[in-house]
Amino acid sequence: MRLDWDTLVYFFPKLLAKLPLTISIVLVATVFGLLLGLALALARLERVPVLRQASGVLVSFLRGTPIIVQMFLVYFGLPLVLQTVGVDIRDWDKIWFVYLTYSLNAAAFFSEILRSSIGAVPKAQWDAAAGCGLTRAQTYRRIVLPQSVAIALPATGMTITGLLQDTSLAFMLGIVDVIGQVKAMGSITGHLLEGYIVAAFFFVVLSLLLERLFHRAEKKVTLRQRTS
Amino acid sequence: MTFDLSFLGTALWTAAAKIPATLALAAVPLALGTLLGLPLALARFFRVPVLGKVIQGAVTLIKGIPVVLMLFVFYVVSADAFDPLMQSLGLSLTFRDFPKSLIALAALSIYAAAALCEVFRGALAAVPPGQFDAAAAAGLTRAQVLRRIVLPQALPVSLPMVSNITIALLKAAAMGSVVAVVDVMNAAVIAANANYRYLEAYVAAALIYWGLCFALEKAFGAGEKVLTRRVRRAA
Repeated sequence: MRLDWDTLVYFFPKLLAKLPLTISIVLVATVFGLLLGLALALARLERVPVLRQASGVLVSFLRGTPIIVQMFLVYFGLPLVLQTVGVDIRDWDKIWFVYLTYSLNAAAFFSEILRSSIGAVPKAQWDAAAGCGLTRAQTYRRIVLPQSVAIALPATGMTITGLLQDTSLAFMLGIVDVIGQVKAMGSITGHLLEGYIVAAFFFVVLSLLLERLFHRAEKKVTLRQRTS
Repeated sequence: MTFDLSFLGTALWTAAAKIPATLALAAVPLALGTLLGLPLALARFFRVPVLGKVIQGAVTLIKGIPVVLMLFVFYVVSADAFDPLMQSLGLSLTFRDFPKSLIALAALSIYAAAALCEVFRGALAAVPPGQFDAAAAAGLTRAQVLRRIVLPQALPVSLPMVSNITIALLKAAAMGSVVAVVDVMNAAVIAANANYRYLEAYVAAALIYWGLCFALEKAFGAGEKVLTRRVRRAA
């Protein structure tokens, strides 16, 4: 097998044009995953009855099953569930199912990270905050969460890098992202390997960028904590 | 469209028959990845000139490439190379006869070796440096220091991460279906191809993966307890 340089060059801009879609999946899943993940973590930390058990089961399920399976469960299952309440979503764009799956999946991993990082804040700080007359919500917002963010940062970075890798499965639902584009172009041009190599290049570059970004964020946060 | 419980049972039964295939897709890469990853981690830990840097670069590269892409590349390359190779060997085998699970095993093993290399390197770094000096002062050779002092401490430290990697491998094994490996997920989907009851098939697959991951987590947890107890007693 010989790699065709011209084909590599041909693939490059076409795949580059699909990167925003890949990045949008990572961004949406990170934002909604963090919000939902925080809610899931709080349900367990605050021992909210029923919600606490539900959160535990959901997190265990999302962490214990492959994301491809979750994606198809959402794709085939959600329309059926919503149909029983009279909502028809069968003609929705498939990307919404991808956004939803990846947000849920990320939420499970984020909730475990947040739970342990909130737990890592010394208990004496809670007592001190209560002694100052802060409410529980105020203590979370002003005392505990700012500290746990710093603790959670490295693991969060790894989860987001993992999310980026996982977006490579969205093509299975028919999404034309970087990999979907390789598949589509491969069947026309007869060149798959070149496409895969260019796609791999983009993923490696994005991973390195993410790693660098989190490295800098960590430095900044630890520095700020030391000075405050 | 409704949910067909009896087909869920059928799909569960069909997919469960492929649990050994899925477990093998996680266990073989775990074993090969450990065999490869440990020497690689040692090379990096002891900063072997050139090799250490090369390994570092390779690990970063591999961890940046999605597993599914690695599977595709291996598939395309082996599909291209297999027929000419068999012809030159005078065998009348074609790519159709090639066991596709080898592709999945190779890709997952490389991924496991890279991940485990990082884990073992971290575990080695967790052993206090004074122990190396103390063991050397006691007249132990470098190999003896590793075998008797360092590894027995480093390996239990790495167990929780090894557990995470094993679970990640088990879930990644479901990607084998993109190169036509018949594992738990693919078996469930094939069962649904006849009647389009894909939801039931994926629920069945999800339940099996969930059970397997739960069992693995418990097994590793128990193993960790045994190992830490032994280390503490020896200390």
